Amino acid sequence: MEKKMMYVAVAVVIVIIVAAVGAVLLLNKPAPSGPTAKIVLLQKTPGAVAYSPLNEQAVYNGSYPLSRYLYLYTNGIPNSTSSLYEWLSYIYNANTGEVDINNAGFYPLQTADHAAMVAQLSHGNTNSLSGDFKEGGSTTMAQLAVLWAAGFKNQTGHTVTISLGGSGVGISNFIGGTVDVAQSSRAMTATEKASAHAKGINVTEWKVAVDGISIIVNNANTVTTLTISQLEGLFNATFTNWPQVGGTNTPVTLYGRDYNSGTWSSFKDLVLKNKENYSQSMLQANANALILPEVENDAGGVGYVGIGYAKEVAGTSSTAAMISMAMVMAAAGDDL
Amino acid sequence: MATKVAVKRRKLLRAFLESGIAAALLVCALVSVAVLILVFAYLVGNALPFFGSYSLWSFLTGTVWMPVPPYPSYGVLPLLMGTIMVSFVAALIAIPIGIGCTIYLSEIASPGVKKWLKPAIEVLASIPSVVYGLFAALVLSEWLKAIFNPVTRLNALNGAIILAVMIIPILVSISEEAMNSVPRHLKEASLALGANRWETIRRTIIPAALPGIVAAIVLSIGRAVGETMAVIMATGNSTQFTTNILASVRTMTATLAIDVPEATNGSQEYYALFAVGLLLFVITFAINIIADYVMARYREAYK
Repeated sequence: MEKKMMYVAVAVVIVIIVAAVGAVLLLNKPAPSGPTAKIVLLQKTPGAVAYSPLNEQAVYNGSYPLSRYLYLYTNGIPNSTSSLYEWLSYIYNANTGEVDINNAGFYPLQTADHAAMVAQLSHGNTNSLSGDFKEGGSTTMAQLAVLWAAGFKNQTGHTVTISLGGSGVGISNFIGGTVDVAQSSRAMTATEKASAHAKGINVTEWKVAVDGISIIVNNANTVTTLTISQLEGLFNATFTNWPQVGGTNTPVTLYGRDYNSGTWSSFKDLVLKNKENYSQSMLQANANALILPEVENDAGGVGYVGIGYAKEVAGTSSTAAMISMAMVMAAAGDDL
Repeated sequence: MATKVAVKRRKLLRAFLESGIAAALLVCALVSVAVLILVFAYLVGNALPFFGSYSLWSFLTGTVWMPVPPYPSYGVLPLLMGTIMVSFVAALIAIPIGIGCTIYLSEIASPGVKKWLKPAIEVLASIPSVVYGLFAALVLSEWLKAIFNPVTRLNALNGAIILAVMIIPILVSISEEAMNSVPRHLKEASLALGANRWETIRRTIIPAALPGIVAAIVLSIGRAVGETMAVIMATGNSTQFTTNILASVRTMTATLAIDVPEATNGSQEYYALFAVGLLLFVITFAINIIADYVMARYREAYK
């Protein structure tokens, strides 16, 4: 009797396993060959020329409405013997750091900005940190920082430990002294600068690259162009169905970042111009890399990511998604 | 004579040592109580300033959680609803599976089966929650999409199912203990009276073990309420107030994990997060008190 029952139980378990494996095989359809999401062109006003964030010149001169700088912050200007000096020199070198910027899918600084940063670096004085150091913050800059750190390690032998969590986290760790460099996809706020100052930190800002925040929608979406006010309407829930902005009947679902993200605040400043809050129904991802797969899986989805993460959509390869996905998983354990 | 003195001395030494050990153990016990009191005091102390500048009523009944200047709103209802939906649906899924598993393990399984089945269930408890979260975000969400076709594949149900898997081992191990401690004579009496095995389980063992099973359920709900990492990855974290199980929600624990790093020390938001923490503490504390009460009653019944 016992034995018989055991056979039945084992048989049931085998059936369950077979069914589960079958379901996995059935549901895991082979990855579609073409892109399943696309970048939307943006125009400042109805009827104006629409630009793509893939258009480097448009991002540089601001014709693309969501351009922004990416930043590093240090305590004072490093003097020429410090490893931070070597780090910044690596980043501003056209043959090393700027190649990495292109590989990560972002745009290097324009000549004037670049010259200003190199000039600032030449006035090194206070910071004499040597050897290995820690940098943390923006997930938009995750893959960029990893590429830099790998090249830098090759060139100098110094290890830069990169942590993520979002620009806000990086800046508060910088102020708290647990990282030596903050990486941020937004400028530090006056409040943050004041609290850094109160701790005796001489906040020094380094523009390191240029980003065009990209709007991605599902490939099935017929909308190809949006004005900034339409985009605002989508993210503050004025428009909840795609026909309201020229698409076909599908409810709008919003994919954004969470409160710690620099992209969250840049997008809010640039798009939600009436100082309103994001729609409550927006899903909030804790990393750029987590947004694209959701939009690819949701016919009514719209999300915002750094250009480095959107290039994959446009068929231009960038190392962005792979590296940062791995880092997000690694960092998740640390942060929580 | 000399030996007598030695024995006396040894006895004295032992008494001294024993009272010392008892005192040390008392200190250990008091430390954990002290920690509890300190945590509670710290939470209350940091949550109180918030209620100085924001009314308790609008905190508890507000439906908008947006701790962002210049117009912050600290309505905890969407988060509370998120927590309640995710953990109670998780419990609904986990209870039948967990109890069925317990009955099988303690009453039906042969020792041979039990020997490999029980460790297998316990292994489920040792998987890190980030792994569960990853599975929910990447695999389970796909399956749910194929079955229910929700608007967003990261949603409350996704979180609830993964939580159910996570709490089953707790439910099974506590309720199995309760079933095993049903006195053997009750079972034997029932069988001797001619009841068959199923009738014995249904009419004798389950009623006798019920308080322990209820305690197991309550404790596993407590675990579900407190889980953070897996739900953060599975539920999409939108702050909308909804009762739709297929919509994205954010739990209270996820809110703490997401918003704490950004909150400036001493700001209104900082204190608001302590208020959320306090509410969470009160909820889990109440759950544990209920579990303790039920367990205590069940112990008395079979002394």
